[in-house]
This record gives sequence, structure tokens and C-alpha cells, in this order.
Amino acid sequence: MRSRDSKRLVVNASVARAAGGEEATVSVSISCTEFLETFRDECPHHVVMTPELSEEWEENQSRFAATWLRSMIARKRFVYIEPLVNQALRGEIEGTATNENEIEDIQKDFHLLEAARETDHIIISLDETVRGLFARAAERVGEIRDIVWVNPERVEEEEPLAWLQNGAPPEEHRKLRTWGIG
Amino acid sequence: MSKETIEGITKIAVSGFKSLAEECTIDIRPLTILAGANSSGKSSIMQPFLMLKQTLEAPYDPGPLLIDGPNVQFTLAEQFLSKLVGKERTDRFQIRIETRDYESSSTTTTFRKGASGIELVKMTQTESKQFLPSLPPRDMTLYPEMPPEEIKSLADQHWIPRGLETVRHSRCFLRFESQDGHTSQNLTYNLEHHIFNSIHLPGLRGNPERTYKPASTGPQYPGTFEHYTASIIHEWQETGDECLKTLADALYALGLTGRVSTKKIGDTRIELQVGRLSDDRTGKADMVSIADVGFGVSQVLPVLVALIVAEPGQLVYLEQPEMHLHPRAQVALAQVLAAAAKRGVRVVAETHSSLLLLAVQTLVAEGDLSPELVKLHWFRRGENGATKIDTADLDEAGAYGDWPEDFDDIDLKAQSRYIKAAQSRLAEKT
Repeated sequence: MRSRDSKRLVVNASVARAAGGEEATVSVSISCTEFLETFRDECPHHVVMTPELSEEWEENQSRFAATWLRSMIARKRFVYIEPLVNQALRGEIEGTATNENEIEDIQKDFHLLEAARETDHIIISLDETVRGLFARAAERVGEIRDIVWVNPERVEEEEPLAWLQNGAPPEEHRKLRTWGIG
Repeated sequence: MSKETIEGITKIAVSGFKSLAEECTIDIRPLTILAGANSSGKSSIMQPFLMLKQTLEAPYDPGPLLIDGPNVQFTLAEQFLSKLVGKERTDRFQIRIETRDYESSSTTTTFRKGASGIELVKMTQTESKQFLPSLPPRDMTLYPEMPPEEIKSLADQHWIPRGLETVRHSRCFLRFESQDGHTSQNLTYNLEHHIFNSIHLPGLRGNPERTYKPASTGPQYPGTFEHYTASIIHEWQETGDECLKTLADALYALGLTGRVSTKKIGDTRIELQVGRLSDDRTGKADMVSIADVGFGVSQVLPVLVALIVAEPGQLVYLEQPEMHLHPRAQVALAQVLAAAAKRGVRVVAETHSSLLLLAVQTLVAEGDLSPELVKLHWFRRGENGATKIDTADLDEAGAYGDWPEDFDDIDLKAQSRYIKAAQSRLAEKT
């Protein structure tokens, strides 16, 4: 059973690929490794997995991330959901795109939004491009405005480890609605 | 088959023994995994049981407890009586064994170091009477030199036949006896049966030999089990027993060899032969002595034979079954352990293999092994040196919940350390 302090976080496969992965730069790799370590060792949070996310993790994960995920499952800190596909919402968000590339990027990561909306509205991802697209979409699409987005690579700007340890609160400046403002 | 329907030993509790200073308990399920660091107490929890086994099996009467035998070797009581940091050494230890047969029973025996060696201090037995509800549940404590009036009182309460006026030890247990010793009432018959029937395979299983001495082929295996392996395989071969094929299949699944056979050398020796190639299941010609192939085969062969030959309810205690095995074989070994557990054998495996544990979890998650057949015990030492045991059940996803430390902790810490060191080194270069 989840404790009240425990949040359900959607962790993008980009983090699983970077944590100890050979293709990531040193600083990104170490930041992601430390983020997952803190997540597992110092916090009560749960990781969310969906069929799509699971497939992406499977394709991308480093050995470290695979062990980490296995350990989270063994410790019963794993939430598996099959979110309903919200075609109307997809259409609304895609409607905010200005070109084909943006539509592709939105389609690629839309499942993160769906998973976050069915859990605690938190996404962990390295992808700043998609974050920007979703933040722009949030100006018009109310349903995704309160989604919290944290990038473990932006150590100084976002202090992801401290945020995790503090209970992963839905702080205003981390929400898509305020991303890029000010 | 649920854990409730399987007969046999269901629980072992020990106190005052080595690092198990305070009482430590393990539930025994058909697949019981003992894990933890070196010297955390994994072997210690089974050693008192093994001392009972070697005491009962000795060909002569060794007294209340044989401490130096084929299964466990001590020469002084001080080697096993608990001594915690800053405390005096205890003078006694206790073992409680619970069994389930037609009734549930618990027998607690206390031993101490006396002037003339190890003495049996007392024995407490409780037994439910589900099938004989007219009898009161048994709950009695016996001790040597028990006064006649106390014996009579107990005998009256628990329908012990008249004329059994003394309490004496019969090896490692106490029983009622007549003064002349001609008649007695054994209270531990079922427990002794389970101990006699148990199979023990130690961590050190000896070097492979060119030939082996013939031995009994069961159903009881006094001492340690590796001595019986060649004879059991030989009998399977001579009688055309399907078990030989099961064994060959298991060896093949482990990636070790496709065939196993025996050859009698005169009347006093048996040679064990295995296929030279791990993927050849047909060729008879290319058989070699077990002494001429890798250690993995000779070390795991007794494990596989024990798991195949064991009957439902029989306790099989395996120390490091994964020893000398390649990681792929460690994973495959879980299937053999699970097959025995599903037949109702009570397998107790002491292991350092994270892969073996992961493979067991996977079998549960895949629906191939019921989680209620599995019990995990993780051993660690507290600050005062005493063993603490954390116990977990698997759920249907093979998950066990929060443990203070597990194989993954160590794996992740080692990987994280390597990632940081290696990447920092690469960063310096660029």
C-alpha cells in the first residue's frame, strides 16, 4: 500500500537510457543515475509503467536502469496502468503544433501525459523540446496545465533531488502552465 | 498444492546458538530461500537441526547430542554457544521444530554444556488434537530427573500409559520409560521420522572422483547426500527409471551436458560418466568420466539428484546449490528447485545467487510457481552481533516488498560506483 507521502511518477525512457548508458554525456548519465538512486533509496515514491512506456524502457534502458526497475518491482513500488486513449485531447494538443516535426514529437510522448493524468500528474523526462511543446499547448488546453515536469539533467535550475526528497510536491513553477514564463 | 496440504517440517527456531543469540525463526515452505551476507547466520539456523540429524543417525548411541559428525563438525561447545559483544557466553541453546502431519506439533529442546559434555536440559512439546478432539491438546515439559509425582500428573493429563514412571533421554529427545527401560512412550516419533528423512547437501561437496563407493539408494540418506549420488543414478539406469531422463533433461537445461550414465567397476565401485558435449543428447560414444569435465557438473549433480529423488514432505537442505555454475545455469536451476517444490518437497536453499532469486521471482510472475509455496528469509547481523532475520512472501508478481538490504542494493551500488568512475575517467580524457 502506498503511503501518503508517496507519489506516482511517470519516468520517461530517456532517463532509463541515460542512467549509466554509454551514449549519454557524463554529466547527464551521472545526474540520471543519482536521480534514480535517490528515487529508490531515499523516497517512498512509485514508478508508473504503461504498455507503451514499458516497451520504450525495454528498448532503451541501461543495465543500471534495468536493475533499478527490477528492484522497484520487487519492492512493490511499481504501478502498472493501461491509460485510456483520449483521442479528443490528442487532437487538441496536436492542433497547437506549427509543423509536422512538432506533431511527431507530440505524438511520440503523448502517452506520458496520459499516464501522468491517470496518476499523480508528474513526468520525469530529459526532453526539453517536447516539454516546450506541451507547455505551449497548455496555454490552450486546460487538462494538462497542472502536469508537473521535472528534468533530472537540469540539476542547478530545478534541484530535482531535493524536490524528490521533499515529497515531489506539485510546485507551481514546475507545472506546464508556468513553464517558460518569467 | 497449497502450503497447508503439505506435510513435514514447517518451522525451525533457534536461540543461544552462534550469532542466533536471541530466538530466530524461519518458516519452511516448499521453496525456502535463505539469503544474506557471509557469516550472517544462514547456516547457523540449520546447524542445530543437522546436529539432531547426526545424533539420531549415528550407528552407536552418541548421548544427547553429537556435535562432531558427518553433517556438522564442532569440537567444543564454546564454538557454537552464543557470545554477544559485551556479554557473557550463554551456557545453553534451544531449537524448536514445528511439523504438520495429521496433527500440528511443536517440539522445543534445550541443551547446555555440562560437566560431562552436552546435556539435554528439557523438552517441551505442544500438539493440537484436531483429529482426536476428545483428547486435550498436548502441552507438556519434560526434563531428566523429573520427580515421579510430576510424571504421574502429566501422565494422567495426557493419557500416558501407566507404568512409565521415569523420563529419560533417547538420544536428543526425552521420553517416558518404565523403570527397567523395557517399555517406553516416544513423543517425538513423527519429528524423528522427518529428521531421519531429511537430505543435507553441504556447500563443500568434494572433488569429483574417478569412481564412487556404492551406497544405499534411499529412501533415507544418513550423513551428507553427495555419497549417494552415483548409486542412485546407477539404480535409475539399471531399472530404466524415468528419473534418469529427468536428470538428463535438467543437466541439459543447465547447459552442462546432454547425457549421464554409470558403469559398475567390479562390486565395489561405480564410475559416473557424462556426455563430453553440452548439446549432444544422442551420441553414446563420447562419454567421459565426471572427473574429466568442469566442476559445475560434479557440484550440481548431487543437487539435481536430491531434488529429483526427494519425496513430498521430505526436507532437502541445500547449501549454495548454485556453486560453480555459470549465470545461465543458475537461472535454469530455479526451474529444478521449483519442480521439486511443486511436488511438495520442502527445499531449503541457502544462496548467494541474485540470479537464482530473480529466476524464482520470474517463475512466480509467469504463473509457473505459486507464490504461497515460496518463503524468503534475509539474514543480517545487528549492531551487537546478533542475527536478525527479515522474512518476506512473494506476491503474484514475484515481488517481495521492502527489505532492509537485498541483492539489488548491492548490484545498484556497484553499478553506480562503476558508472561514475568510468565516466569521470572518460571525461578527463576528452
